Amino acid sequence: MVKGPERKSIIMAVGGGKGGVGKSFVMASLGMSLARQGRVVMIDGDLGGANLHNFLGISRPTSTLTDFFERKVPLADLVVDSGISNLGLLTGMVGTIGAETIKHAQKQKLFNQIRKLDADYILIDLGAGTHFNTIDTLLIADKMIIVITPEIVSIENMYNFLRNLYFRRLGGVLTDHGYRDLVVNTWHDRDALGISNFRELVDCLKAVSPEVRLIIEEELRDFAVNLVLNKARTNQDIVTGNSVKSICVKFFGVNALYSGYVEHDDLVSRSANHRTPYLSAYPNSRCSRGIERLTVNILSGQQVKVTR
Amino acid sequence: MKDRAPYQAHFEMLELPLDANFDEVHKAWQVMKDIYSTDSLATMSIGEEVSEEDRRLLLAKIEEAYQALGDFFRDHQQLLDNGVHQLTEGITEYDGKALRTIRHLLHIPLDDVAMSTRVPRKHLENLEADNYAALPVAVYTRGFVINYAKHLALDADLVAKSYMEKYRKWQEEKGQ
Repeated sequence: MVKGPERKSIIMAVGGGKGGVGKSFVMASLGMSLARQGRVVMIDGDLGGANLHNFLGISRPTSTLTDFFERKVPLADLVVDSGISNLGLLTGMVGTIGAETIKHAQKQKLFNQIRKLDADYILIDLGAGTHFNTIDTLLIADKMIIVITPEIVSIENMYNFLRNLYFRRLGGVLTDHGYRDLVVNTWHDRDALGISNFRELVDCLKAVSPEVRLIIEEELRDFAVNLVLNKARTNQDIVTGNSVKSICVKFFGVNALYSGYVEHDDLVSRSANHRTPYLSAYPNSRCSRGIERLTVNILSGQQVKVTR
Repeated sequence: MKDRAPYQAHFEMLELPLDANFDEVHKAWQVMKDIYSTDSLATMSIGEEVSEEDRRLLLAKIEEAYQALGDFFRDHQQLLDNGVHQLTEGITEYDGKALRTIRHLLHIPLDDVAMSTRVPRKHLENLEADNYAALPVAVYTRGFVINYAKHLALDADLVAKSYMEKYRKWQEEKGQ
């Protein structure tokens, strides 16, 4: 299962935001769609509440990430067959271990072994919330995916998550260049510095010195998130994705791509209950076609066009 | 695209690539106005990040971008019209060769024509090469010529009439 040096996998990860927006469904379907063009390994990194297997139509695998953390089994040996051609699954374990309890060294070891997995695409499904372990895992991905639904709670959570994600990256980048704690300290003194929001913080940091400005501009140029709008029911819902993207670009200065929307379908939860992967049960539904377009867009960097 | 570089900020404000056409600019302007002038799911949930003042400033910038790009496209069209007028003076017959010459003088790549007219590039090549045998039946070919001519800001009816005369002549000869 260990790959040669010539094979470069694309890592995609979904995380953050609100629970129940459909992260696992979107990821499982994306994985099935990608498995038609290459070898896929899916990692259920929602350590507290792994449920990816449900969307792939299988029961919970017996070997899990807990074996990696507690029994030091190599990651590659824990990948199980999902029953879907070209798609391997590595699952989390409910109850025994949470994202909060993982130590730094364990995390680095996990990341290294993830990068070495033998696959064209490695998909990581992370839990909701803004714990830094979740954010760090998302930051190792080549494609960071954020799923939203057309509901105010979900969108507000997303903005919040995006801020956290960007800060963590900003802090990491500046620490790497010898500016440890600059972000945290600046934020701590926000009242004195007259900083009231995200943009002002970034502007203030850039004003520290020309070097800091250069670091921020250079290192974060490629920072981009892929937005997916799930459970769309109306055209208005679809356009919400365009608006959210625009706001991310204009008010956060974050390069957000509106990679796709997936239409709501009651059959999604029903097929999970019946242990049938939705994408193979209803390959021609509007929802499945949305997944197919999403797959193409994420790989190519294309976006949803505005329809009005 | 070189002449568009000074307008980059305006294209970016409307979240468009540098090669967007005026229709796209117009559409993007309407969408941006909608997003930032009314309360929507996307704007309501952003909270303290955006004040009323921010929003007003942004709307002003969006408006400015639209005005500037509107002027740009109008001037561009005028230049094109004037240029075409000079080029076509004295031309009475529009065959493929004449069309290609005009296109070259206007610095319009064939791919651009193909993209905006949605006529396959292969057909455009045959059109310019007067390769009638490879072109589809008259109704289609005439449609292609009209779209091509419009893209070059030529008098489409005149061009089509002239081009199709030659096409018909060839058809008659072939029939004998």
